[in-house]
Amino acid sequence: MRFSITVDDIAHSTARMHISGQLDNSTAPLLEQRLDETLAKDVSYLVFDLQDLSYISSAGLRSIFKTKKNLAKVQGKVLICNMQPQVKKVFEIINALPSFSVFSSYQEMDDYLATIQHREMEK
Amino acid sequence: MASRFKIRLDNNLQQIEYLREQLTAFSEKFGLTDDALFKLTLCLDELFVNSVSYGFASPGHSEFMIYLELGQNLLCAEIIDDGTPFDPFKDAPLPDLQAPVEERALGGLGIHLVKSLSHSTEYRFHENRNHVYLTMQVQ
Repeated sequence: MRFSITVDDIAHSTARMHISGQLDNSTAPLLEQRLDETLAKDVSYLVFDLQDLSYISSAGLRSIFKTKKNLAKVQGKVLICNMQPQVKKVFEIINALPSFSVFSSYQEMDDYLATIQHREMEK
Repeated sequence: MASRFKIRLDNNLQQIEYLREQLTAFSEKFGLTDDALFKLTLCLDELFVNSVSYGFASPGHSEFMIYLELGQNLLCAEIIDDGTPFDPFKDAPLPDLQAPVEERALGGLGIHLVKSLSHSTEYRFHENRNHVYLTMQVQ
């Protein structure tokens, strides 16, 4: 599958980034560019939808870690949903899963986001 | 049928795509599982990127050779390059695996993945070349 990224706004301050194909040293710069553009638009919750991500190397991991660092500065969060087993294993090996909110389905993630949005509105 | 395979790469990061194509061809030829292909691709990708990024003063005529041999349950890979002597298993930084990711230094992750996914790893410098040996369980 060719590498591609689509971004859509799914709720207030929340964007979903769907990444397809292989995230490696040659494609990570493309992801970083899209991340810079997306985070410049007042996004505090970023969802990585990895349903169609078939491969990730340390270069891709670094881009995702950097996103977490940038969003932590604005009290935001990185959510990851629908990881393929092999990609998940790579996160496991480097003990990165505890650093993210990980969801195995859209439904689970939507419920979580709805709770957050509700809490924000009550503030 | 001898289950041997050779891949030659230039000292150029653009070659990752070609590396992946060649490994897919190897996998199809010898019936590797998807999981084995994923592990092999990740290990060789990390070693190649590491070597091209740090091992060569400038792009040029240097080369990176990969020899693969498939035994019954074990895949052996030998990776040879003529870059600066560098033992990735000793000289690469050890990654921090405990802190939340946003607080970690980002070096050493790739080599940690290689070590974790391989059954054994070894490095030798001889005849003016870096030799990295990996074995990997494939069944």
